[in-house]
Amino acid sequence: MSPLRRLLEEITAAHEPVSLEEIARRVGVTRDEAESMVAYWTRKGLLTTDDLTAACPATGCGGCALGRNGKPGCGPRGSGPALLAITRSPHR
Amino acid sequence: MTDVRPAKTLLAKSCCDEHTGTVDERAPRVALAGNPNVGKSTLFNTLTGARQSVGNWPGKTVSVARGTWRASGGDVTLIDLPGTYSLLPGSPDEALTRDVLVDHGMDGRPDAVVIAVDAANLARNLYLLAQVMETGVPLVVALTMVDVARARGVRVDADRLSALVGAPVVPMVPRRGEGLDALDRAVAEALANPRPPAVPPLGDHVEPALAALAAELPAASTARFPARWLSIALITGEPVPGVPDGTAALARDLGAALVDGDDLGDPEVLVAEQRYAWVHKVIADVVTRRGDTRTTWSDRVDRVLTSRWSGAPIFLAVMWGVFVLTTKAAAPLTAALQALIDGPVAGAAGGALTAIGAGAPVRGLVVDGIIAGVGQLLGFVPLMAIMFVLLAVLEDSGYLARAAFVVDRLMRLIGLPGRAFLPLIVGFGCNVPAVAGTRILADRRHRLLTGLLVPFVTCSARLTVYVLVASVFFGDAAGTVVFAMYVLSIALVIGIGLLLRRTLFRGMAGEPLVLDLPPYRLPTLRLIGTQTWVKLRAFLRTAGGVIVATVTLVWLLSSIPVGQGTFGDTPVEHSVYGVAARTAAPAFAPAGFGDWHNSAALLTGFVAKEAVVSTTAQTYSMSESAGDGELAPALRATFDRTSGGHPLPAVLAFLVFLLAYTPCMATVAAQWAEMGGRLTLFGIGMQLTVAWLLAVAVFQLGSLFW
Ligand SMILES: Nc1nc2c(ncn2[C@@H]2O[C@H](COP(=O)(O)OP(=O)(O)OP(=O)(O)O)[C@@H](O)[C@H]2O)c(=O)[nH]1
Ligand SMILES: [Mg+2]
Repeated sequence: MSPLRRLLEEITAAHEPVSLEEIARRVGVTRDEAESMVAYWTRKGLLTTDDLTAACPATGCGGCALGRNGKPGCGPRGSGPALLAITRSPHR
Repeated sequence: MTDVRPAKTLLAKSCCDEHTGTVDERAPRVALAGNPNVGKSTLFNTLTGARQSVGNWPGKTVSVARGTWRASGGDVTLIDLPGTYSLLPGSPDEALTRDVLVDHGMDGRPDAVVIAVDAANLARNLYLLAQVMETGVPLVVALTMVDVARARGVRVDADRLSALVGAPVVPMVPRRGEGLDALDRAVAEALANPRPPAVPPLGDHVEPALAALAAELPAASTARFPARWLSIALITGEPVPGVPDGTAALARDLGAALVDGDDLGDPEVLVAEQRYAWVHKVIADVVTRRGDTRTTWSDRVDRVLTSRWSGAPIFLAVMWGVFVLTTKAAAPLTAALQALIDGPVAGAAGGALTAIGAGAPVRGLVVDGIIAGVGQLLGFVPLMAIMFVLLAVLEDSGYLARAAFVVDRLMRLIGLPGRAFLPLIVGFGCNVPAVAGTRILADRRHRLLTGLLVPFVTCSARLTVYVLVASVFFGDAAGTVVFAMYVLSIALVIGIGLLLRRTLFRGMAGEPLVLDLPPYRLPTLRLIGTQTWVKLRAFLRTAGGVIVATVTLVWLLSSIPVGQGTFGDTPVEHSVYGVAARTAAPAFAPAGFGDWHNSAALLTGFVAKEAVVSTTAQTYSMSESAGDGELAPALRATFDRTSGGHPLPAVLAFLVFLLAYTPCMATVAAQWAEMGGRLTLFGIGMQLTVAWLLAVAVFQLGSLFW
């Protein structure tokens, strides 16, 4: 199976939280490649990526007005972890 | 020298409006393409002297800019395209870039393309490069951000890359103007002797199908589109204008045959797999990483910080440190600020109001209400600032992202999907966006359960009350008490979550979770500064508004007498407000804080938690019993009295009640909108019950020992 597909399989099969770094290692590509593949599957609509921007534990956003595009969250883009989730099963 | 205009008109021949007539239509055209945020506009601006918007986030260039580059070999018209990740158009921007690159039928098609490739994120950039190579357009690769790559210990061998791509590769740092001469030479050469780049092979499975289709392509289509690109587009099911039905049908059949027996059934995936294989080979060939020690170092740290066993204790210890440090460092500043406002400022304002002849009610509103309330709030500015700085450091360093793993494990206990922790974590800042954030959950039951749990997440408004009360009663241990409230909050979310799952929400399934962790890095002062400021400003804005509004409302209600007395001239205890608070007070007697000051504060706390502190200040400074403005002794006296000599358990009970009962009207409204009236009311009932039971338990058990 190609790394591109393996990546999707690994994400689907992740029962424990794992980092993308770990997924990249399992698939045998660099982190950079894995990121690019995630972006690919996201464009394809099989994966979603949510910016979790962990600014919010403890006191976080300070006020209520800081949601972005109808989603909650604050802080600069890409500084927090992003959650990847399968939107539909690759197996039809 | 530049004109910026919507995509369509750019490519129309009738360009040259009066005011932008400087672009020479006969000059060769060179398009600047590439991923978003790789320095295209920076390069464009340097070369043309224009001012395209440049910034550190993707997607700034939304229209197309053209400008004249006075290159050594003569003028060149440069076209700054929007950044795209792929030539498979997913957005109008991408469609535009794709059309510019492949559609020969379009006016203004570039004679060559400079593709900006970010040396620090090579894989993502190479994927687009592979697609652009398929179009056969003469290329020059501008290898940008080599400074960033170098700093990360990544070296890209430009010569080897050039050999693999079949086009010149120019390493450069557009921001500092490095590499411009080499780019100039490379572009001049590409314009003088245009040559198609190499073609990334698509493998023994796909190539035969492409060859079969290529043989059948009509001349009209190959005159308009590059043949290889066209074959790939047709086989992967992309609509291409002007292709005869027969050819399209043949392509569809070939594509279907390729994916026969394939899970995904999408020929485009097969092509992407081959491109990624090419990217992988190129990276292995041209990239050298200096000492992979850094990755292994961060890997090892990650293993500890995200481990099932050590993750949670470390997270708790770090958060404890944050609260202790915050309360310790802020305490003297807060005290000084509050003394300043309670004393000199309030005195001066009172004097000034008397001097201009303002009546007692107005003085009451301004001095006892707004100045006391806003003063309390200002007293929290140092605290909030320190806390925000510490959190920004944690966040910026990449640690908080690791903590997400810990939280995720807890979520799993409740049976909520990983992404449910997004709204819950947001709830620590404010419950309102957290409730709205439950929308990201696909399953309705997940949404409702999460929405019911959000109010138990302690928001930043509640923090001010914890700090005020804890520092009055617990002195040095204030930080630990505040920390305990946060731990209790998490425990409540899990406990209530488990309870609800066993009863109302049986049989929910989880979903997989992968987290994309940002790398560790040293926090930068600027980022921390801006983050702290943004949050502080938001806090002050919301809290300020809430406080002025509730203070005025409380003042109004406490000026209306019940029974005898006239408006504005009645003891607070006998006003509408005082009577309501006194009616509620006995309910809290079993919890040890059955005093009207407390129930009054909790009453406004129902509206908004930011108002609890200001109402406390207001009720004490309005009622005679409290001497002149000294809040701490008055608070202590109250709790001593109501708790029958066990003030500390009573204070803890008060804090616990405050943590668990309805957060604010705005949250209630948000819940109403997201989950309907019935569940919202159920939620309020549950919060009050849980809060009361816990408070009573804390006081009754605590007073046995304390
Ligand atoms: N360190 C470094 N930063 C650069 C370099 N080139 C550009 N930048 C910075 O990278 C950021 C993005 O640059 P832009 O020129 O706006 O990128 P773009 O490719 O036009 O982005 P979009 O229009 O959004 O697609 C800016 O903050 C630039 O200052 C470089 O060679 N090195
Ligand atoms: Mg740009």
